[in-house]
Amino acid sequence: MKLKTNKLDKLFTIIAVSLVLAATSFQMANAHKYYAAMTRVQYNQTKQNLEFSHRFFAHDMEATLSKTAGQELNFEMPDAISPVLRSYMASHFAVKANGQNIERIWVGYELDGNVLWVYEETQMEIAPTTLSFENSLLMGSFDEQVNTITVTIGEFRQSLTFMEHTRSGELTTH
Amino acid sequence: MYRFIGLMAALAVSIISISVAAHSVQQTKGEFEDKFRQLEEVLPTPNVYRTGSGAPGHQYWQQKVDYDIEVTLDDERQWITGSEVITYSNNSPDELRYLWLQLDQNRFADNSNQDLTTTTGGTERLSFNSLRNILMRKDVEHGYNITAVKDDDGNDLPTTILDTVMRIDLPRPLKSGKSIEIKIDWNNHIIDSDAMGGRGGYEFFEEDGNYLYEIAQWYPRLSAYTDVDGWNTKEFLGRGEFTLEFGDYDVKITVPADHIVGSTGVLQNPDDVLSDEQQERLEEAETSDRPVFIVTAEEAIANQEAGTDETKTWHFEAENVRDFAFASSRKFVWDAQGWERPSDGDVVMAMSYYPEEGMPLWDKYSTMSIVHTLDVYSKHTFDYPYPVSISVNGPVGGMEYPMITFNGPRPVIDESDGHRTYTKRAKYGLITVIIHEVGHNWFPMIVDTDERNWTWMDEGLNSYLQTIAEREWEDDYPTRRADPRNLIDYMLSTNQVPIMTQSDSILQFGNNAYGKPAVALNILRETVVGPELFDFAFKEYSNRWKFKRPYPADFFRSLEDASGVDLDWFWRGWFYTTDHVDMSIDHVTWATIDTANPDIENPLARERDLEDRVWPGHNFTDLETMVERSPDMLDFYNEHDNFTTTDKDRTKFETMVEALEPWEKELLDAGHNFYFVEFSNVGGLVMPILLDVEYTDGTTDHVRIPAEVWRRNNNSITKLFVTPKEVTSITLDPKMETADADVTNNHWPRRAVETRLELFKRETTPNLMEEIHIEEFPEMHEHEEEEDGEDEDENKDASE
Repeated sequence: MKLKTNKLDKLFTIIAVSLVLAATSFQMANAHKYYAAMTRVQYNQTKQNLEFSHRFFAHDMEATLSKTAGQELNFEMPDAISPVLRSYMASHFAVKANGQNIERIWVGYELDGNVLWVYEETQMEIAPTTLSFENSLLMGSFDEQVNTITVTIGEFRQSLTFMEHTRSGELTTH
Repeated sequence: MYRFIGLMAALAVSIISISVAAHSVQQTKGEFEDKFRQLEEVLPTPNVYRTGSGAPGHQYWQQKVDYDIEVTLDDERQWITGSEVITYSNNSPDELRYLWLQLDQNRFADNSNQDLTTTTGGTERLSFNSLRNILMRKDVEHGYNITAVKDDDGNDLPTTILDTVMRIDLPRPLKSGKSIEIKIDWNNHIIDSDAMGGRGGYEFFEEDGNYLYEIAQWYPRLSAYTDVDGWNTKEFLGRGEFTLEFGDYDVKITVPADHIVGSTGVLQNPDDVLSDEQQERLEEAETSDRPVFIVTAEEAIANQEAGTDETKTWHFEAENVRDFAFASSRKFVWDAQGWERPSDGDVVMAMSYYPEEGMPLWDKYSTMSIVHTLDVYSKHTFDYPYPVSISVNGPVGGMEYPMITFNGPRPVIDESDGHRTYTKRAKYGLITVIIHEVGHNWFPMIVDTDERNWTWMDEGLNSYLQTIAEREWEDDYPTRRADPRNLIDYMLSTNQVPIMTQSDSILQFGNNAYGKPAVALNILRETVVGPELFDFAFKEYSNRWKFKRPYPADFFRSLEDASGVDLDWFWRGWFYTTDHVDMSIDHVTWATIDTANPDIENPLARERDLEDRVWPGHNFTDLETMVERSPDMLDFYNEHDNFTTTDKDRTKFETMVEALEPWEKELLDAGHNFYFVEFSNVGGLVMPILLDVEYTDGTTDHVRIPAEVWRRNNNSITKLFVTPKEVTSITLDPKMETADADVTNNHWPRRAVETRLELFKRETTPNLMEEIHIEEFPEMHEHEEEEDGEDEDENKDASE
């Protein structure tokens, strides 16, 4: 739930805070901290295609999607989990190229051991000169979530980092 | 005034000397960077405690701390009340005027340093869990109530508490070689593990109203005092785990009489706490090759329904451990199986404790996973030295203590039919986490590294060996933490820090402290040093530092010392920088020998010349040329081109050949091909160059060039290959061994390399997923319907 922001003065703001469902217990003091989603954004010159390859740990995503859907989901039930994953990706990741929102076409997902790859693409005749992202993948689920997007266009390569308090970022590709 | 200026001058001098020390040798002309520069000036100077070979020195020492503890667990209030007598033996050459202790439970208190230094996410969202945590810190009393600190005469000792550490001032200095007894009484609330996180705590089961306790970091523990750091007083911010001393423990744990206790150490009073039947089953388990139930599911379910006001005291002793933890609940199913230690044939008891909710899964895989870990880790390091190894299922996702580990994954309830099933991921999640946590017995429980400062020294080494144990569990084991390919995206990212970063300051913790060192060690073994030398060196390091405390330099030095391979460049690149691997084949030049024989070379030259003179556009073959119409326009030069061999040429050649030595003549005729292959290092990390060279005759050479090929120029080099055969293609790092980030530049001739997404589109095999079915357990159904069906406990697959 969200309410409008009441600006009182420049230093003080009252807003409504939305409570977010989290998938695991607070700050798992666990011997395995892998809360990292990695996204490769690559411009494929030959295919004139901007490619998005997202890499997650499969059970992080399973836990998150289960909370989102309010039912236990895992990748061994592809029919149940696929639509949830698709809509989750659409609502937690957004891209602007040259200042314009772009729509990503769903390509599919695959599991490689405990790693989940999610693929999306956007046809573009010319490589974008600026890219900006909104990335809140798995955020709210894992308190130490750190997401990385690495953009490669020809010789150009740069990474952006996304955390709870920095969910957006942009770069110029030359 | 003078003093002030003097101070300023002194400061300025010290600042200069620091910057000089950091860059004592500098390349001040050109841009050459020596990536093979020895690490000597970076590593601490060897001394009598730690040698230049990486072994403990002849005067190595460490403190010994023994604990005699009596503790009562209050199941009504989830409260612990304890009393301990600590015997502190000062083996250091130093006199100690005070002792520092760790009060880890204090980090859960309101306004602890961890609480105060935790930053928040955005201003619009807050997770339910975060809010629960914040409120629980305020509403529930956490942290220690220290009620007495006395010397052995019963006199109160002065104490100072700073967040998670406490100083006890000694009545008189503790001299080298002497020991002192301190008595501490305390009590504290046990944390709700789900709400507070943490590496222990309780779990409440709503269905039957029972608690399950995993009790860890529960007693005031002595901080480490070392030759490297003195007292380790770094406060506990939640990440850098523990730096502790070895000692012997005598612990009496009083719990409700119907509880089963699993603990570090060996049970001293089985007659008081176990039934005759349970003791007989334990004996049977010693020689069994499959787990034997000590408490069956049926017995556990019956037990959890009753409840009692009586208590029982379980007495455990543990020798030479750096910590002590236990678990207690009336819900525990308990199974056990003996493991025979190869070196002395003694039986080690591998045991699992889990609520019935952990079945089916725990009964099948937990104890067997312990046994497997004992086998593999013992083989690669040293035999597991302790008498028991335990895996407990409770609220904690995965955590290690000496002889005992807490592991999270559980099966799920299928709500449609009430069957309890487990997913493939939960199965491998459980095996993986048990291998990992039991593996921690070696690193850092026995090879006692400083976790508070260097997470990678236990997590990285353990993740490396974990991958070996997984590969030995079954072919195609689904997790591959040490697979170089899995690290590429992290290595490319710009938001990372070197492995050599203090635990609490690490960005991307999992990839930095677990993944990258595991991959680095795997590459070291498979690609740089070779398994035989690496395994010898890794084993040597483990044995040198067994029950001792190594630091990073001791690891780096030991591996180099024992493998006999200069690895300074490797430590530099992988542990001290954030470079990634990206090597490229930039260009290939093919050459053959100029035999100088005019009868061979001239026709070849003519051929090349004709090729060069082919008109690039339309040709005029259908036209009749001027000289065709008037052949008398042709002369000597038309009959003989530049490539006609004359007798003079032949004589010249013969004269030259006569002057050659026989071996020179042989080389001239051998007909070798020369390939000048130009490589560049795009990523910065120097690595061995691994090549598959394919020839026209269909054969392939596997070429492995050591990383030292980059020593004089780490940006670009040219390597000459001489072969009688003709090369058709060259592939760099064909088996993806080096975590090379960009494979599009790894081929000559350049090959279109499909991106992951393209490959997926071409090979889409979504139906394969559907063929994987969820395991079902018909034999469990009867039991399930009887006893359960309402359990809505979420899948606890939170294993990594």
